[in-house]
Amino acid sequence: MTLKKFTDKDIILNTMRAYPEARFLIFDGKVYYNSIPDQSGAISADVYCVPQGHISLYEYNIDRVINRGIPGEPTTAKSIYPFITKQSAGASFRTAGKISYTNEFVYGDILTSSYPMSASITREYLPTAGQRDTIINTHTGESTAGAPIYSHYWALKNRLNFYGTLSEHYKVSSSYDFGHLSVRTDRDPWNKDNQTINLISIPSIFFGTKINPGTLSLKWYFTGSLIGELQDSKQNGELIEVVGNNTGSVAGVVMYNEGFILLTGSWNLGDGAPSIPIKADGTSDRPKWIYFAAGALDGVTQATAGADFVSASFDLSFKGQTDTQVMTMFTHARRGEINYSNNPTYIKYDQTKVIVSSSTTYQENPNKLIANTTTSSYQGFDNDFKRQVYISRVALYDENKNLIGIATLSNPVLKKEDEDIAIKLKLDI
Amino acid sequence: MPNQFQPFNLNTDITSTKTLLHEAIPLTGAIYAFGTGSYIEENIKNFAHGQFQSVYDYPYLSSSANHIFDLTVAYDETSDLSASTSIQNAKKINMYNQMTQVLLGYSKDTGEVVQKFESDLNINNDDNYMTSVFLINLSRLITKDQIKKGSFTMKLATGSWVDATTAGEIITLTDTSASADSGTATVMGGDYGLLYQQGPIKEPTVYGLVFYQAGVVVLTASLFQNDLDDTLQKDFSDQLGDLSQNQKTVREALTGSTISASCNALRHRICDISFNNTTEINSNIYFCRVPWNRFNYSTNPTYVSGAQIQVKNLASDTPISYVTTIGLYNSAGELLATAKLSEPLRKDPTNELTLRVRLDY
Repeated sequence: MTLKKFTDKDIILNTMRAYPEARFLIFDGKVYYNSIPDQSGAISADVYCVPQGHISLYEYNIDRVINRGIPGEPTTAKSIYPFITKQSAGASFRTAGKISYTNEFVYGDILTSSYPMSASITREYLPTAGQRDTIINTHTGESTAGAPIYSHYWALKNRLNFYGTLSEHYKVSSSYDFGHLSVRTDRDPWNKDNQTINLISIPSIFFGTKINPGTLSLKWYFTGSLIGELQDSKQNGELIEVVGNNTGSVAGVVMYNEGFILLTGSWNLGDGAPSIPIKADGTSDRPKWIYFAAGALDGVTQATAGADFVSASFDLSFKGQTDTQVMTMFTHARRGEINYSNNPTYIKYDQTKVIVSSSTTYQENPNKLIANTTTSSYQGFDNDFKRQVYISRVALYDENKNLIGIATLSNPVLKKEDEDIAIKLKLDI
Repeated sequence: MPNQFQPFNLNTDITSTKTLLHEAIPLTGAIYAFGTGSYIEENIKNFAHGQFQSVYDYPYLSSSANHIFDLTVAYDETSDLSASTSIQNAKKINMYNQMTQVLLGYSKDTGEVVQKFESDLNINNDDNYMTSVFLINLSRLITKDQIKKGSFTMKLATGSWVDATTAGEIITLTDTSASADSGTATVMGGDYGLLYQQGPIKEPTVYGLVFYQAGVVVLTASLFQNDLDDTLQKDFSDQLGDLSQNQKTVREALTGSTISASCNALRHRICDISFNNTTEINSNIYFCRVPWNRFNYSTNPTYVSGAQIQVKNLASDTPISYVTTIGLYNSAGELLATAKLSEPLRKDPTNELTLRVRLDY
């Protein structure tokens, strides 16, 4: 076995960037991801064992009755689930809360979780985004502001202001006068705390590192006809109406790195589109951006809103961005090198291997011949011997000569004595 | 940027630990068509080279399918099954040699001869050979770092072929004597344990091996050879379309059938496989100690207003800060990682904190 050291020129590190496309169709209280239809299995109602419109994180349990890790329940369950023993390191599952983990489990207890883990987009309708509970002092009767009602919005407020340098529209409150720029001047200035916000959350598994700026498109369909479309055409997070009654207006912002869309556009869409039941409480309104994606796991269905809810459908599409670090290594088999194999068949068959073997001496045969592997074009004729090997794999070692990786060639490569060969290895990290 | 650093004492503030995460893996017979008697199965992939067949948990042409295990048949060249007339004779011998070479290595005495599978934990005493075996190579996807010792169970129908399709003579093989610290032996391919038969049907004995790190199960072919009284040769397979003879004993199948055909017969007899896998999670634990006289101020811009500390009403009040984030820096002062607290912790000169930061990798 020959060990060769990499030089500085032999190793290249770079980043491979990919842009996975994601498309969500929201209709009738259901989410369809990348046009994947419902697939029923032979054993479970959904072959992926996840709710409709979700993706399975590992796609571990395919077409099974899911076992939630509770002994004996259900009896027919045969699915993969993880478990862990409580130890001093404190490792646990998210399903076991901090207090529960401390109080309900002793060291040595087994904590279980379940697969599959699933993810999908979620819509939250926030009528007054900054609303807080009211706390009344029972002694004095004074009322003070309590905890926020919509904690998800409050968690984003700092980040929204942080992106205020990209666009004024990110800012939670602004007194900037858009009158000379915007079609609609009646919305300036604003305070998002007092606005109705349509918050759409996109898990990062759908986009990777970030949503690729300039690729976002939101389409509002009414009875199958496109009545409004938003795009982030400026690539600065502003969602600008490109189809509709107020083209050029900003109807919301997108947080590319975090995967949140906040829509505040509350003007009517579509000429003459009537009111339809679009809220979970069954109340009706005309199509607006604040109702975009109604039915995306927000409790709005035909049952809660009304039969005409099916007039609305929505299309949300974007491209994500994934960065994969790639290590490229060039291994060289130069002429005069890598010309011997340790494979037992490299030596000619049926030769004396040991010429002396006694209690004091062990001597191998120094005249063993290498098998002639050169091919001949003629039957019954052996070509002249040439020193050559077939390279079938390349092993990678660390500085302590620990084997840390093996690259196997799809086909063995012939390495002749007078040839240089470079084998390129790629390792995605 | 922090206004002050608190250096770690490398002897007392940093420790490492290892946590074992397990997954319960049940592989039910529905996956590999136990008892159906059907050979048209979308979950099963056979290859042109014919050396093994792969089993998936879903039609293998689907991107959702996970590779579960590979099945093959092998025997040693010293086995009496080995003959030039046997179907795929060289492949079966090569398969045996390759698996024993990788899993067991070479004989200690001769140094040139590959070890053979044995139904005991002493691989060097050259007895109890298993020279004709079925091999189940479980996917790394489901075995992860290793199979948990003592958790492997396999149910097999060992009756004659007609009984097999209706789950006849089902035996349970387990590595019941294996545990984390005993009942296993260590060889080149890692640790292995013995698969004992549990149940009244056959004599309690060892019918196979399980290699925990390699994820390989070895079953001796003699498991299917004889009936209860060990005299009657049973039908092992009913290889429709496989050569001229359909009902075959295991001996006839191993010599007169292809590897794929014998794998089909075995697969239809596997009622159930279940085991727990193991993933090792290594952690570094950093004890970040906050003494009483440090970190009582904040560099947060909102900490002061009009040149006055917000949280102080009187000049004599003690300062207060709220710890929200811990930054871990290297010796060059470069930020390597940040740890967020689930909720801010009050810090003032009257208290000391020890924050435990765990880094998994």
